[in-house]
Amino acid sequence: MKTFWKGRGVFRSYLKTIFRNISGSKIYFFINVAGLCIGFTIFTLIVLYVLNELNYDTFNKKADRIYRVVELQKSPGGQVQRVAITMPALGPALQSEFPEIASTVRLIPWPTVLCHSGDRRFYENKLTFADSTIFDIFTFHFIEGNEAKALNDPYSVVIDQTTAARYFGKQNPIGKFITVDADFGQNAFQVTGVVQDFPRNSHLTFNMIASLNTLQNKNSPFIGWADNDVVTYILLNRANRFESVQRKLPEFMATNLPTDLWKGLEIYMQPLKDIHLYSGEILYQVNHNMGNIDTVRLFSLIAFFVIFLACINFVNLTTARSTIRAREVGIRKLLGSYHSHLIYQFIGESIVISFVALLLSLPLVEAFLPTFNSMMRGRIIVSYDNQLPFLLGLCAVALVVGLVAGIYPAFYLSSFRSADLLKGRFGSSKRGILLRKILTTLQFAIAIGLVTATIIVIMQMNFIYDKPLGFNKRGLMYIPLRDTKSRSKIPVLREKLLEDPNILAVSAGELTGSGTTQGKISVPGPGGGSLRIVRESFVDYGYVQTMGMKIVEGRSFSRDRLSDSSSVVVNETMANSFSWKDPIGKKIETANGPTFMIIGVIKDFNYFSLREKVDPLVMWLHPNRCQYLLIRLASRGRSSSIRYVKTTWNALLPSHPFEYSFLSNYLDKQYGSERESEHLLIMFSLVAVLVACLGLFGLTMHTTEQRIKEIGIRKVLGASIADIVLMLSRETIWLVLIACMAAWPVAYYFMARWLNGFAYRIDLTPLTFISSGVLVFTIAMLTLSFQAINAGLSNPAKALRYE
Amino acid sequence: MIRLYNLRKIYRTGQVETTAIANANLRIDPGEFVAITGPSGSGKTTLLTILGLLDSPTEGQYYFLDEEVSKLTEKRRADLRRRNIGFVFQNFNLINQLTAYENIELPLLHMGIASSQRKDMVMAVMDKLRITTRRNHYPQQLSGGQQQRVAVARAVVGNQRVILADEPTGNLDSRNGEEVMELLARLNEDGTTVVMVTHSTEYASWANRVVQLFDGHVTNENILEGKRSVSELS
Ligand SMILES: Nc1ncnc2c1ncn2[C@@H]1O[C@H](COP(=O)(O)OP(=O)(O)OP(=O)(O)O)[C@@H](O)[C@H]1O
Ligand SMILES: [Mg+2]
Repeated sequence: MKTFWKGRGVFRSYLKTIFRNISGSKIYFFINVAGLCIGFTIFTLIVLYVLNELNYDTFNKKADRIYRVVELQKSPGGQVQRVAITMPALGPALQSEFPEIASTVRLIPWPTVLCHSGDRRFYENKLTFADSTIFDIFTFHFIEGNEAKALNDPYSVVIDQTTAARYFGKQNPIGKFITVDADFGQNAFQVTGVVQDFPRNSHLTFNMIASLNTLQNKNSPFIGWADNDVVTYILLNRANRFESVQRKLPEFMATNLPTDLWKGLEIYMQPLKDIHLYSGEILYQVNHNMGNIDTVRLFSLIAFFVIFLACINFVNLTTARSTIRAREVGIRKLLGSYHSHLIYQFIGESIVISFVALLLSLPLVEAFLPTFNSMMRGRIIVSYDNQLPFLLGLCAVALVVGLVAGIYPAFYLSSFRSADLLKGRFGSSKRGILLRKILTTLQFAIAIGLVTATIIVIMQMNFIYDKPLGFNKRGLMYIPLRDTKSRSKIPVLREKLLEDPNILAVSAGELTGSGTTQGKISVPGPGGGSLRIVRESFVDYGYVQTMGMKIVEGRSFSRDRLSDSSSVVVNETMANSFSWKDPIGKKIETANGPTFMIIGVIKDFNYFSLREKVDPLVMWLHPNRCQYLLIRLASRGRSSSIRYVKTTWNALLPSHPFEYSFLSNYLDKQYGSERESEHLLIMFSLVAVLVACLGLFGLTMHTTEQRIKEIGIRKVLGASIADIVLMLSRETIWLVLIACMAAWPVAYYFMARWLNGFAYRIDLTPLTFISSGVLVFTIAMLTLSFQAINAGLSNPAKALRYE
Repeated sequence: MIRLYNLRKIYRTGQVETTAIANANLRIDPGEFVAITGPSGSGKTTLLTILGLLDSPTEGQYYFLDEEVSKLTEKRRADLRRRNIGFVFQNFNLINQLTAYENIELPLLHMGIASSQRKDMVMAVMDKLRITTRRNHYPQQLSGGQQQRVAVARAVVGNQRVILADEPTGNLDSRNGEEVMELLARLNEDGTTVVMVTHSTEYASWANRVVQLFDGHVTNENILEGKRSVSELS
């Protein structure tokens, strides 16, 4: 090595040739740098996203020891579902049974409620009821109040700084009251603590935490084993106790559970750090900004691919252009350069190019981050406090990329023999050409694979958006009903609203008929008895008509029949699950006693996401538990109707701020995360194809330059432009064909797996695959023919004078 | 200076073996001007690559400065070559991205000579070869004769003891060819050993010895008593 640096002058002269080389073939240099720069930009953006996703919930100091209890519910049909809610008695029972468990906490995230203090009124959607142990388990930073006692008494609430400022401005909030208009009546909660705003990269969000014991009076659904309605978290003494606790859980369940109620129920512990990314199959959970490990993996793969494609460009172009530099290498060796020095120098050169690309990519990242982040619904939180490790990491990546891209060309270039100088000219070696073909094929294969995946994702998403849901989502306006008072106004609201001729129907109920709670029902008498877990939906008269759902048998609730308060409507899946021939008139029994009669069967409709199959559903007539006022508008005069709804609402409920939305917006939001992945996937695969084409462009340009003499001779001998284009593209056609053969099976394997995640999915046809191949081929040919035609058009006389 | 004993060079390309040099014995003393001639394909270039330590023989011994060099490592050969041997080619082989000055300076950089001294050495040799005015030109901006003079300058700038030239006049017209021959002869008079491959009997007559190759064999060695000299020319 010392001789290497002895030659500072050698090094400088070497730099000179590099820079003069660059200015002599700017386009190739540009392609190399641009490809790597695009690669680094995409890579950095994706890494920012991936790091954010992987760091969810890790700010909790005890994150390694915190677990969420998940229930495995097995229906008699053999179906298994996972739910993130548990019985209220489970947490305390676990704690008293297991010495390994240091603490447990139960949370009840509350639906949006109207809160006020003095004349400040807000709808709150992050109110959570919790045991006082919440502060032992999750990491909070108290600004005011006593962490240990804050939630000991009923009607206590701890709020975050932002909320404190909203209600109390600059005053000290401790001891002040916030009134909550909840289902159970209007109640004043005393502020006992103020905490720093909870971090955003948490699967839980809070801005108000109220004491759980407020809700635990005698007939409360939040005590005992009968209901399944609280989220339970466990803190272990030591992380390594996980196995031993998990092992003993079946036995614990067998001895502690009232058997008749929850037959076949199992529980397991889900590590806190897994909740954000590995909860796709878990129902009834309140994951804020839920992530998906598949998306994280897919994007990481894409980041890798884009950089890899850029590296391939680098290797291909450098080896292809090597004939130009072979003479330089030969002369340097002749004059006494060691082979190894040349290798260092060429690797050094590629590392320098890699760093130049990295440097250029940083402002690009800065520029694209806001757009990228808004596509990810703002989930990337860039902290500028501690950028150094991140930047060092990027430098390490640039170094590795420089090495990977440079090592082969370096050995290849430095292997030119100076003895060949005497032979006049350097033929390009067969080995180099074969490698170039392999790498180019690989590039095409990656591009085709990504395009195939993208096409399939787009088709599947369109399939989902266009699939009939079983109800009419267009023109359905909804207003949340957040308390008893507003619910009591349903009849009068309906009466008043229907006076507008453009309002076609008014009812109340669940937004998509989904039901947010589970109930247990059984069938009395012989043959019945088996317990079913069903979704419960509480609706008002006219719900089925207003939503545009279809009754397949019997009828829906009617105001004319008083007995309908003890009737239910079920969906087809429910009717089928009991294999009734004639469901009308059959009786079902709820866990706490009353018996209901089935008066109608409703055609299955989809709720939530088309990833999931339809569950058995029972609809009760229960206006007091309706969550939304639903208004079907005619397509004409919408804005005046909305105005009319607003005046009517304000007149009847002056203390309730008017808010509304449309069902179609709500549904679009449901598919939001899939939409966002779809957009990004399209964008990224376009970038990948772009990078691949960049390389192809450079290679063709080089080939055309090399063959300009041949082209000239052929033209003199009478070849047409078409002949020339064909001659130059024949090889590419073959490479694309081989790439298709390699890419299609891989794409098929992964996309079939992805589609299996959907309950309703498209079928994969050969056409999908062929079209992706054709698309990539067309893009490649466009890139190619631009230069081929140019070469074909050029004056042969000029070409022959070349050299 | 140079002694070859039973030297043999065989090229293998796949199944085909070509004997480029079959059993050559040769001795070149310091200060000689040797011309190597022979028909195309007779092994002249091959012989020169071996003499220049660019390639190693298949069999036989090669003593360069009394050191057996046929089995040396590439590194060691590079060291020897750097200090002692200069090359001149038919197609000049200058680095296109470097100016005339920088091309000539290159061997000095590899020798690790200090920059002030380098400058003096380069300027001296440019002066001697009358190319000083062209020092900032790139090879593409020079005529063939000028390029070859730059190449000769590069071959001797580090006071190399041997110049190996493969048809240095091959790409030049007669006037430029003469001029290059004149340069080589003058360098030889200053004590540099010159080994030159040429097709032309005219140029071969500048040497004081002609070695003839045929099919890889040294067939004839003529000592030319009546060697032409620079003084004679002018
Ligand atoms: N790298 C090589 N691989 C295989 N055969 C070679 C190689 N180099 C030279 N030869 C063969 O060796 C023989 C001698 O070649 P060489 O180049 O030394 O001849 P030459 O006398 O210099 O010819 P010319 O006068 O045409 O330059 C020829 O038959 C040639 O084909
Ligand atoms: Mg030759």
